[in-house]
Amino acid sequence: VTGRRPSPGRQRRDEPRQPHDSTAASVPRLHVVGSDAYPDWEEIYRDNVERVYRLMFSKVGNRADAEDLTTEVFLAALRPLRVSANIGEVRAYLLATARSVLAAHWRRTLGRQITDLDADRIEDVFPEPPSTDKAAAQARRILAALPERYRRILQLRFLEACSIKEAAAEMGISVANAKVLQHRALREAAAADRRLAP
Amino acid sequence: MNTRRLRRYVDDLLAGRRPRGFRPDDDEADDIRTAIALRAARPGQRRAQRRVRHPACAVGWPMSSPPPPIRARRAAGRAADAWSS
Repeated sequence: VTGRRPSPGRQRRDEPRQPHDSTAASVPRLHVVGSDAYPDWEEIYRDNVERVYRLMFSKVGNRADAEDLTTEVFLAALRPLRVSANIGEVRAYLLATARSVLAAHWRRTLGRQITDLDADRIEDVFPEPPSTDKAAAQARRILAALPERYRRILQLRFLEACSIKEAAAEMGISVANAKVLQHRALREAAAADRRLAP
Repeated sequence: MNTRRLRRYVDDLLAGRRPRGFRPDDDEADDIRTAIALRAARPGQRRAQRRVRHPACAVGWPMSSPPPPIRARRAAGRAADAWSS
């Protein structure tokens, strides 16, 4: 028998918090970011929507899914939240909810977890001021480990937003060759990513 | 491995479309993970575009007041979905 799930603002601060979904990773003890509370739910949303969206985009790589998942996070998280919860507690709960929402997204679309938020901490996800760009740093590390032609095609396609036709013209190869090169480059990049993973 | 499904997924990512789901094997999952990491690093692409659906729009909840009970919100959400579809 499970008891009623405590909500941020009601819960004692020294208790570990439980996320709203049993599939979510358990939330560590809170690191209080500040003692201030939000004046209302609108402010909770306005202050965090950009951060949650950015986080989701870094985990799904496309705007449509990132937007939907962000909405889902707020819909799931706002009801259990109490406005009296401080900013640190609110963000901890949003992050826990984002973990569940992302996990459910991958189960639904690809049947397995592709990316997760298990290693993401509040201090990194909700930085003030914004921290250095982790996504760009990871991309640089991956690309640096590749042969020149693989690096170039991925750079053109993923970072410079070139179409396959433009990338092919830039590299002086046919479109068919560019497609094959991109596929092989991505496979090699995934291997490099695995090697470089901490 | 079905290369075609993976290529389609990556093409969707690159084109900014919502990728279509499939059941990837281990290698394909690694490729997708890396493709997402590279795509997420594209400069100037990660700011919210004001298309995130505001909870108040999604469930008809004026956020100056406390959230309504979950049952009411689900019903409102279904109504909103029906209205927008």
